[in-house]
Amino acid sequence: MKGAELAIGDLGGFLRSLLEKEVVDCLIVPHRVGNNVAYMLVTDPNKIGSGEEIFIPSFSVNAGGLLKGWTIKSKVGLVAKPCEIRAAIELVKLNQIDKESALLISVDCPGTFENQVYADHKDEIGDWIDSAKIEELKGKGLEIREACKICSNMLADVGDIAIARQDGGDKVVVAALTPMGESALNALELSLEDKDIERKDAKAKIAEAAKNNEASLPKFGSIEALEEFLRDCIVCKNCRDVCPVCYCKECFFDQPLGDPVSGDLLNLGAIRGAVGLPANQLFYHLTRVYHVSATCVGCGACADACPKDIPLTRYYPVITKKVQEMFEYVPGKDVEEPIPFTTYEEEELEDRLR
Amino acid sequence: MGIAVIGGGVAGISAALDLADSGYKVYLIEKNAELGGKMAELAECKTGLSPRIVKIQNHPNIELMLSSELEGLSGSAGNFKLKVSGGKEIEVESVVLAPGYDIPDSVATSYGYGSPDVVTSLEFERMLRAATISNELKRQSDGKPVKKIGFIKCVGSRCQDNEICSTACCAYTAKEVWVVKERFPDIDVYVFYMDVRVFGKDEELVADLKDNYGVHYIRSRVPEVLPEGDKLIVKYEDLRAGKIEKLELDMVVLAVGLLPARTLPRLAELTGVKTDEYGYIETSISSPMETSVRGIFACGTATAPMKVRESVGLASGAALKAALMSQRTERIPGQEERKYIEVKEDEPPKVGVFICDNEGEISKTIDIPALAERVKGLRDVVAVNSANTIEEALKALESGIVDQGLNRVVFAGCSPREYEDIIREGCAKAGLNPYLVELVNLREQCAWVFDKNVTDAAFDILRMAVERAKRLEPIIVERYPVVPRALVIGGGISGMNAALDIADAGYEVYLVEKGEELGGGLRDMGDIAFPGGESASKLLKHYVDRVTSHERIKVYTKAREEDVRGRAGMFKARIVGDGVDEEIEFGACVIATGAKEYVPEGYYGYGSDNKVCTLREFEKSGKVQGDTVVIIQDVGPGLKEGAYSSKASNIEAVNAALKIKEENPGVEVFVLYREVKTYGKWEVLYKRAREKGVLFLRYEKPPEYKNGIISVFDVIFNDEIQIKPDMVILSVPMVPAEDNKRLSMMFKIPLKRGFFMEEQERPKMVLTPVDTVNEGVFVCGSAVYPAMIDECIAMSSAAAGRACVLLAKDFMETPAIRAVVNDEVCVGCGVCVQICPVEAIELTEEQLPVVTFGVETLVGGERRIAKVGDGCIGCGSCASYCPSGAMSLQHFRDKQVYAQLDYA
Repeated sequence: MKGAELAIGDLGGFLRSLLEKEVVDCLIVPHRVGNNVAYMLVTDPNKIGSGEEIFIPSFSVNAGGLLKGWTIKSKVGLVAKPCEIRAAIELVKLNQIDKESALLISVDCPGTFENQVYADHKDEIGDWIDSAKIEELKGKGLEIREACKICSNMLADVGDIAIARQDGGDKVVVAALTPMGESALNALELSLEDKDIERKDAKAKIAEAAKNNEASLPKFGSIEALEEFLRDCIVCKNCRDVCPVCYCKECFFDQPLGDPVSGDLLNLGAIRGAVGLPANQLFYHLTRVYHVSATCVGCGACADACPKDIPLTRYYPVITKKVQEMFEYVPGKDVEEPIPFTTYEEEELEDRLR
Repeated sequence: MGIAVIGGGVAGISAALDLADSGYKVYLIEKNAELGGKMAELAECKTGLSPRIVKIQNHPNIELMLSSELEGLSGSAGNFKLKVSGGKEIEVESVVLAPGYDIPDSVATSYGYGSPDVVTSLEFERMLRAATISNELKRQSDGKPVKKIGFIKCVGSRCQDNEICSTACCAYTAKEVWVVKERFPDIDVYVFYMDVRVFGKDEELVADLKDNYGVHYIRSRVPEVLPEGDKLIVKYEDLRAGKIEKLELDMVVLAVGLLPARTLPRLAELTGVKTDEYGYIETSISSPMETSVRGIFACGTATAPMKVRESVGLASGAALKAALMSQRTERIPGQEERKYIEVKEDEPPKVGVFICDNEGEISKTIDIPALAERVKGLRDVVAVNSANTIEEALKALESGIVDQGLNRVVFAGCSPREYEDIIREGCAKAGLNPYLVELVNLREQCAWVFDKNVTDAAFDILRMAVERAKRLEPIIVERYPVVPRALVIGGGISGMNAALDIADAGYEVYLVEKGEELGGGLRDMGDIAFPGGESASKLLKHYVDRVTSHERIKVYTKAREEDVRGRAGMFKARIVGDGVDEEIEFGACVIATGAKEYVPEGYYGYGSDNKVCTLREFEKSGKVQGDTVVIIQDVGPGLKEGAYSSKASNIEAVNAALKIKEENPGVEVFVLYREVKTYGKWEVLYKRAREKGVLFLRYEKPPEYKNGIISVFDVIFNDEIQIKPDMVILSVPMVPAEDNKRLSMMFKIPLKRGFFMEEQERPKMVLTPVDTVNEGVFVCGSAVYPAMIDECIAMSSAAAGRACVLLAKDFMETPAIRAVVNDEVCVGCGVCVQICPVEAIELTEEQLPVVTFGVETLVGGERRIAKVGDGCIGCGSCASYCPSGAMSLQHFRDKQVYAQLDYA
């Protein structure tokens, strides 16, 4: 692939020039806000920061979901972590984002902290963490999010452009992954050369660690155990609202059948003798995991959003990954790859049929 | 006037329904007190046949004359007078004879028949039916479970008394064996046979039985059965070892052959139709339904021994021919305007529940009176009725709607799969919208599957159904006019014959052939002729002349059809070819793409050795080389390599051998074969060829051809034989037309091994031999499997007949059960568009305004909404995906399904 090496200090200039050279009409990038970092839609190049903030290990929302409904002609650039870019790509497949209007730029992610944890410990954590630093912080009781521990897609390799922080040093490689990415880099008048950001060995290591971490998570052996896990759920549906790949205009659980009130509720009670409230707690989560089973990018936004601190990472990403493995599907990896349920294979899942 | 159909077995029933459904008055005369004939005695088949019987009983255009026999016939085509027993006289324009078959009165004593454990296949069918219910196959003598069972084929056929092959036995034995092995896998099964004459799906079934079910197929001359004590000893000749072997069995089934119906001689005498030397009604290869008397047609086993599938095909063909001589006088059911009682949304539901016992099948395990009593107590149920038969239940239903003002109906009985139309029609007649009915399968889904508390389970199922019924909404279906034209694809014998039949019936036909001229495979057959038939070249000329001069047939050669759209009754397509690009509309389509000979490149030096040619190449040239001719059967890929063995090639090879010998008595003719598949009357070819001195050598290992010498290990002589041939003729499989794949995608009809599949696998398939899953599209001839000429003609007439039943209608209805979109909820993800198997959904786009300042852009984006088009088949794939429920299926709305689930 074609790319260019930049000093980390030049990243701000790189991002600014995307706006200045009108490669995009606006840019959604992380931005320092007080002790923390948050996404901001920027049209004025002068509002772009130093550029280093794109690596800050803090997770607030999944920025892929911020592009839902971007079906206008004006072009947006999104600079975000791989799970966020992958979500955006799934939304492209689901017609919620027009691909030609979005330049997707993924950046290496070392793993993230919940944004409030980061804000509270900004100085200890810093702008960039590597595995040694993660261990060191762990010793201090500061752990990266569970979703990041079981993530095996942390290195930038999706979207139109990847920004790789090879070796965690002060150099980054900006590489084009698609023709749109390459023409963007060309427009910036960077001198491009062949770059390899594949990093197979590093990826294998990450995948291995992710697998081990996932294996150590508690499992649900039965529907009763799942009910117990979800016991405290108040069906606030925050997990749905923050989910980047939950894309309905009107959720089934906001419609009368999914959200029975008043007379409908009484009728349900009359049929069953007793009905748990809020109604449809288990049904809601079962339905949702089914709906996102192919497209869940495992970002863990659902777990962060849960006001009852239910560790939903152990449910959504863990279960959906199993479905995805059955279909050898990695959501967001390739915009051209169809979502499994849209295709029909005469022979598939043969071993499941027996 | 009308048409008389004589015989109420499967052929008569099918002919009568095709005629009545296209508006002809039908008199159906059956000598027994019940319809169904022999097929109703077969274990699997009664269930498949009975819906047709019910339909006949309720058909306004059919006058059913049970326990009646023909006593006299006078007049001629267009005006026959029939005397029927009981002093009735009817006048008809044409007659269809379908008297069926009988089995031999007596079975030779050498088979041990008389011992209670030796039964005929028909008797075994009854035992099998009982065994599937009781789950035990027991000996009739002592009630002990059967552990080892033998099937003996060719009992009473291919013998002195009945020299032809009965055709059906190989396949029905395979089916019986399959049922035994499926139900009772531990029973050891032995099949004694001379040749296995099965084709297509049956060929696969036999291979499956041998390879996967562990059934022992033993080739032997017909063995003897000796009852010894409580055992049966089967003495047979092991052809491979050349020894007499003995095998001890618990039970023996004799696959008895078919004979002409006992009533046939009298029928022939009364009607004047000629019979052949075997006692069957005489027809010819090129007119397989036409008897010697104009206006009288024959179908089913009246003309030759055959299977159900072929019988039904001939019946549709005979119906069509009979219709050509008659005037349509009746209305076609379902074509009248309907007015329904208005059911308002807020009107309280008044549910009527109708339980049909299916002549005692359900009350075997379910206490119907107790069930009815409990159902009466359900809220909003105002009437509960139980009846013994579907006719009684239907009457109660109609009067319930009219007299008690029911506005919802639950109908519980056997599988609704076939009765659905009849029940909905009953509701419609009584004025209730036919989609306010919920159908419950109390037999297959309850009575037959639960071990205990069956009545409780039945109550739960009914309670669920009542809740669902209460939420059903009336559906108004749209009607569209039927385009009275047909498209026929393929200009071979099948396509030409179908086109002629449809055109003769008064409809315009587009006949599209991809090659340069009409004729198809017939063109490769030169002057070859079959006994009693015209030569291929004469047949070809006759057909091509008739087709090209027919005023209602428009022929397109070097052309193909593209861009097929629409549905039964109103299809659209483009015909594209040499200087042609025409948009056409048609109501029905017949696919007759044929098959072609496999090119045996690399086999026996084909292509490089000029002594070697294929069968069709020989037929085309007709030239015999030298003094020694070897015909090798079954060359090229077999079943395991994806090809079907070809009915046509096998018989044509024997025919060719006979021809060579007859015309060149000095020439030595060898036929090297695996099986000789001269089924039915073709058996005569085999017999005659042997009599004339053609040498048949059976091989198991394919013969070798080296240095001009053919070596074959003959398993009957048990020795290697070497022949120095002057000519080698290879009989190879027929392979499907290449175009099938494209047509399969376009018409959405699945292929199997490259051939078109009929509508369903067993048992339904045998009753719809030319229908496909795509209503209005029919298949015939070698597009379905490699078929003989007479079969191609019969099946293409059948396809034409079925097409004409459709074309006779003025209107068709759009499907009631179809997808609908809630525009407000749809988020336009388009997954439904990708999922839809018939491409009936598209996304519409509209621009959204912005609600802010208009600095950069004035639009807020594209709003996309799914839109369901005319092609929707109501499969529900889209609705099952749609996460927000924006897409739903009429009649299967979430609230209806959830109500049902909530009461589970």
